[in-house]
Amino acid sequence: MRVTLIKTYLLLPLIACIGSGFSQDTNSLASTPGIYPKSPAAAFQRFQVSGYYRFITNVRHLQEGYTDQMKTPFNIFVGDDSQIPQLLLNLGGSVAPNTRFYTDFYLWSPMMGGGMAENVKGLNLGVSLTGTHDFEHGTLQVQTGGINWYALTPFTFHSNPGFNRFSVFERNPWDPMTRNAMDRYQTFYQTGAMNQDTRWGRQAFQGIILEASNLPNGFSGTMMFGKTQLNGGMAPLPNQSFGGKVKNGNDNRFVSINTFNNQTWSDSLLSSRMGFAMHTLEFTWKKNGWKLYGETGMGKYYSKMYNKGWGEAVSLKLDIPRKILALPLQIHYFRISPRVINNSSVFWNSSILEGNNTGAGNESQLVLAPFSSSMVPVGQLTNNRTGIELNTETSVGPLKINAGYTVAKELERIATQITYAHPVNNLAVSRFWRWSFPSGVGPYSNLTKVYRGVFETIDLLDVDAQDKPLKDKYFNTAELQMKYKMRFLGKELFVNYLGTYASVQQFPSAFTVLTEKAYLRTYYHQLEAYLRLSQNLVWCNYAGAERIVANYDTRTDAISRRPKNQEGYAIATGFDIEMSKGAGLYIRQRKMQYRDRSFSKDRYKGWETTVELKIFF
Amino acid sequence: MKHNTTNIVKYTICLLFGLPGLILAQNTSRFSVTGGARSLLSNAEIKVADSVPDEVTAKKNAGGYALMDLGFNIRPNANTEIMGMIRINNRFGGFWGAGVTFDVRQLWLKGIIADRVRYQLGDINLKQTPFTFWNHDEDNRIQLPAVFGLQRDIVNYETFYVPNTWRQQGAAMNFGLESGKIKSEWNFHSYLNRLNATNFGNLPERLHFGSTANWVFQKNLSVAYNHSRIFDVKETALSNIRFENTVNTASWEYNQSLKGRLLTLGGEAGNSSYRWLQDTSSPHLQDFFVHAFLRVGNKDKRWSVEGGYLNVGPDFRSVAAQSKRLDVGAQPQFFNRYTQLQTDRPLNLLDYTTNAALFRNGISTRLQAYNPLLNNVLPYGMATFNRKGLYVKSKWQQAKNIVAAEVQHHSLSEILGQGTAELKKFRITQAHLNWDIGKMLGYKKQWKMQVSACQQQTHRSSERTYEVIELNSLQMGAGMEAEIMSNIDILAGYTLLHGKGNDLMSARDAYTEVTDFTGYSVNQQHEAAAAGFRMRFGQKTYLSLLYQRMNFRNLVQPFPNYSIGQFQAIYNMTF
Repeated sequence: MRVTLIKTYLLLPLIACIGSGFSQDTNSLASTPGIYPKSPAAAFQRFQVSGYYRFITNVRHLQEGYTDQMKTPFNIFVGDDSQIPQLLLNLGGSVAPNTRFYTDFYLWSPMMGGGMAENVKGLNLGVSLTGTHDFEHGTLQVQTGGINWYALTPFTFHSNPGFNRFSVFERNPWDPMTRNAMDRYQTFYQTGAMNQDTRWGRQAFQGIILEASNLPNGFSGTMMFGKTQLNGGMAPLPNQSFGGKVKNGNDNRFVSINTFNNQTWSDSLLSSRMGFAMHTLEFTWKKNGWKLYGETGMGKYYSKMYNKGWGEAVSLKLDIPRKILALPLQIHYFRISPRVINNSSVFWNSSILEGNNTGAGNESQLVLAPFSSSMVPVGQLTNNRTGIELNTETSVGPLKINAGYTVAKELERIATQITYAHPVNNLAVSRFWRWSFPSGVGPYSNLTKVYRGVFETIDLLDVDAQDKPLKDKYFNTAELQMKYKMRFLGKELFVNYLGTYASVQQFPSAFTVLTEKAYLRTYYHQLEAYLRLSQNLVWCNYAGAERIVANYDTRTDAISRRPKNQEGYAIATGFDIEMSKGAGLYIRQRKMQYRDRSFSKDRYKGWETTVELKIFF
Repeated sequence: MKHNTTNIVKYTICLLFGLPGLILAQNTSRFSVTGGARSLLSNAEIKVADSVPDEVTAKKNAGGYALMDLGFNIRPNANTEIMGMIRINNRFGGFWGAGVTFDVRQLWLKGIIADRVRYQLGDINLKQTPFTFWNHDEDNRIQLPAVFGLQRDIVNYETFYVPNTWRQQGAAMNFGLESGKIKSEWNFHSYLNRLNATNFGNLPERLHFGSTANWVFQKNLSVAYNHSRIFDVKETALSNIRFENTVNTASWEYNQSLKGRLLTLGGEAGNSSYRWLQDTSSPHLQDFFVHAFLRVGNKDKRWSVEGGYLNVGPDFRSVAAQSKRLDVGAQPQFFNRYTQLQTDRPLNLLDYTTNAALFRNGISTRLQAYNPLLNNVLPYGMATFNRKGLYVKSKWQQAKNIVAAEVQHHSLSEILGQGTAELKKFRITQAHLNWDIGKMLGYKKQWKMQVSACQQQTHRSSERTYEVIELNSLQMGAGMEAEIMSNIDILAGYTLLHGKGNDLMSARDAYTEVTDFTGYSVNQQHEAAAAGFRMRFGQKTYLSLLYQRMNFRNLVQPFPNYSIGQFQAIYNMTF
C-alpha cells in the first residue's frame, strides 16, 4: 500500500461533516477535532500609523520672585506642563470602506533619572469609532467612543474660536508643522489664523453622536449622548450630557433648533441632582453681502442649592459689507442671564460657583475658565452680562489692521471680585506651578492657574453688609492688531502688534475709561517680529509690556495702603529651524520682569529658555 | 503586573517601529493587522417590589467602554505565522487617558513543519469529541432572537467560544496520511495544554494531553480513537496528591447512500477514570458511556431524521467535556445587591444571555453548579453522567429556504438512583422555526421571524413523599428582524423562562461524590423583552440602539421581585 503524506490544510475538510443543524453539536463526528478557527482572520482594509515626537525642555532662573519659587530659583523641566507626551502615535484602521476606528498611544519619559520606573504610557484621546451610511434620502454618520471633537452651536456645545488676536511667538503643543518655517507666520499674516488641528472651536465629547445630513427638503440633524470633560467621570452613575439639533436650510439661510443638557448626581445614592439645560434657536440670513445671524434661547441651572429657573441667552450678529461703510463691520449684541450655565459652550460661567465644579471632586479647581467678573478679550462671552461688540478689519498696502471693541454690563450684582489676565508673561508664569491647576496661590493667594495661563483676582470694597456689590459693573475692552509684511535686508519680515486696553468701572462709558474712576484698567502691548534668515531659519522676536492699575474701591495693600499698580515686561528672542522635512527645532529665550508697586511681594524677575524639537510622521 | 504591562508596551513599540512603512498595505505577505473595535454605552434602572423602602441602593447605573483589539499578524516565512493581539480599553467617562487599560488578548505562533505537520503554540481554541474535550452550550437551549444575539455574539467573542471549543494555552499539532490506492486517510491530532502552573505548595503543575487518530475509508467510513488525559505532574509541588482523569473513546461514522437517501450510522463509546493519586480518601471513579445514532436524510441536507441511544454511566467523569460555560454563582455586572438588606440579586435571563463576566474561559476538575431551570436534563451536555435513554431529532428546510424547522426530543432517565432506588425521569423537547418572510413575499430586503421553545420535565415518583420530584421548566423565545431601509433593521424579541416544582440537588465533595441532598423548590419566571434598531455598515460592523426590559418574579424564595430596564448603544466592528 502506497502511503503518502498530504498537506495538513487540505486534510481538514475531508472528514465528513454531516452535522445536524442544532446549536448543540452533539454527534462526535459532526465536527472536526483540532485547532479553531480553521480560516485566518481577515486583515483590516487599511491601517495607518501617524503621529509626532515632541521633546521640550524648559530652564528658568529667577533673580526675584514669589517666596515659593525663590526657594529654588533655578528650575529645569523636561516635558510640557500640560503633560502633552513626547511620542504620540495615532493608530487607525477600517474593517469596511465606510467605517473607521482610531486611537492614540503615547509614551512619555519625564527624564528625571528614574528610567523605566518613571516612564508613562497611555491614551490621550481614547478609542473612537466612526461610520458613514448613505441612504436613498440622506447620509447618517456615527461617532462613538471618544474623545471625539465636536461642535453643535455656540450656546449649546462649542468652544470660543475667538478673533485670532493673540501672539504666535510661543508655540502650543498642538501647533502643526508647516511646509517651511516661515509658513506659520505667513499664514497668520494672510488669514489671521494658524493651521489648527481638528479641535479648534470644538469641544471634547465621549459617547455617541449621530449626524444626519442631506435629508430631503434641506433638513439635517444631530443627536449626541455621553459625557463632557467637565461633567461626567467614570463613576457608574448616570452623570451624562445629551443634546442635538434639527436644522433646515443651507449655508446662506438656515434655522436650527438646538439643545444641550447635563445631569450630574452629586451622591452615590442618586438623591442629589444638579445640571443645566440649554435650548436655543440658531439662524443665518445672507443677502447682498449682508449677513444676519445668531442664536437665542433659554437655559437654566438646577441643584439642591440653586434653582432659580430659566434665563435668556441672546447672541445676534450683523455683518455689514465693506461697500456700505468702506470697512467691513460686525456688530454683535449679546445678553446672557446669570441663570444660564453651560460649561460646554462659548460663554464662561461667572455667576454660580458650584456650576464650575469639574466633577473631579475638587471644588476649588477651575481648569478652564476663571470665575467672578472677568475682564475678557473681545469675543469671549460670559453669563450675567449684556453688551455690544464691534469688529472690523482692513488693509492699507501690506499693513493689515483688525480691531475689536466691547461695551458690556453685568446684569446682576453677584460677584465682589474681578478677574483679569497677565498675557505678557502668561505662559511663563503658569510654569511656576507644575502638574496641577491650583487656585489661591502667589504671595497674596490671588492667582489661579488654568490651562496654559494664570489669572488674578482682585476684591472690591464697595460692597454691602451682605457682601454684595453696591454698584453695577461696566466693562470696556478695545483690541487692536496690526500685521505688517516687508522686506528687511532683502529678507522677508513680519511684524505684528497686539494691543488691548480695557477697563471695568461702576458707571457706563462709551470708551475704555483711562482714569482712576475705573475699578481696574489693563493695558497690554505685544510686539513681534519674524525675519526669515534662510529658507529653513526664522529669527523670532517678541517684546511685551503690561500695565494694570486699580482704584481705591478695590482692596489695598496693608502696608502701602495703595491699590494694585502693576507693570510687567518681556523681551524674548528665538529661532525656528526646519531641520528636515517634518522636523523642526524651536528655541526661545525670554527675559521677564514684573512688579506691583503697591504690593511689594508681588514681583518676579528672571529669564526662561525653552527648546522644543518636534517631528511629525 | 507592571512587568507585564511594560512588556506589552515594549512589544507594541517593537512591532510598530518594525513596520516597513507608516501606511501599511494590508494583505502583504509578511505583515498585516487584524482585530476590531467596539464601543458600548449602557444606562440601566432597577425597580424592586419590596415592602421595605430601599434607601441604600443606587437605582440607576450607567457605564460603557470603547475598546480596540489590535492584532499584529507577522509571517516571517510562508509556513509560519505569529499573532500578538493587544486590547486597549477606555472606560466611558475616562478623559485624557484616565480609565485606560492595556491587555494582551492573544499571542500565538502557528505554522507547518516540512510542509506536512501543522502546529500551533500559545493561545489555542481546541475541541475533540463531546465526551473527551468539548465546550457544550447546554444552558442555551433555544435559538436566541437576533436582538439578544447581538450581545451573545459579543460574549462569544470575549470568551473565544468558537463553536464548542475551549480557549487553552499550550501546543497542538495535526497531520494526515493518505493512501491513494484504497482511498483511505489517517488523520492525527494531538495537543498538550497547561491548565495551571504550580504554586510550589499544594498545587502541582496540571496538564491536559489529548490525541485523536482518525481513519477515513473511501469517505464513507470514519473510525477514530480519542484519548484525553488531565494529570498533575509528579514532584512539581510539595503535595504528593495528584489528580488524574483519563478518557478513552472510539467514535465512528458510516455513510451509505440508499435510494437517494443518505444513511448515517454513528456514535461514540468509551470509558473514564477519575482519581486523586496518593490521596487515601479519594475514590477511583470508573465508568463507561455509549452513544449511537442512525440518521436518515436526503443528500441535499434539506431534511433529516435522527434517532439515538445514550448511556452515560453514573461515575463517568470527563472534566474537559463536563466543564460548564455559565457560572451561575457569579456576580452580575451591575446592581449586584439590592433591597434595603443589600441582598445578592439573583441572576436573571438577561444576565445569562448578555453578561460576559458570567461565562468561564477554562475547564475545571470539579463539577460546577448549574441552574436546573436552564437545563436539568443534560446539565453537562451530552457528557452528563448518570443518564440513559433515547432521543430523536429532525430538521427540515423548505426548498426555497423560506422556512426551516428543527425538533428534538430526549427521553432519559437516571441509571443509578440518587439517595433512593427510584430513578428520575427526564424529558426535554425543543423546537425552532425560522421564517424568511421577505423571501416569501419576494422582498429584496430582509424580513425574518423566529420562534423557539424548549420544555423540560424532571419526574420521580415514590411512595415516600420526600422522594417525589416534579420539576418543569419552559424556555421560549420569539423574535423578528425587519429591514426597513437599506441595511437598517428593526429588531424585536422576547424570551421567557418559567420554572416550577421541586428537586433534590446533589451536594458533592471535592471528589465529585454525593454527600448530601438539598431541597430545591422553585416557582420563578424570567421575562426579557428587547427592541431596537441595527444599522449594518458591513457584514460584521453594526450600530445598534436597544432597549431591554427584564422582569424577575420569584414566588417561593425570599427574593423580592425586580425589573431592570436597560438602554444600550453598541457599535461593533469585529472579524
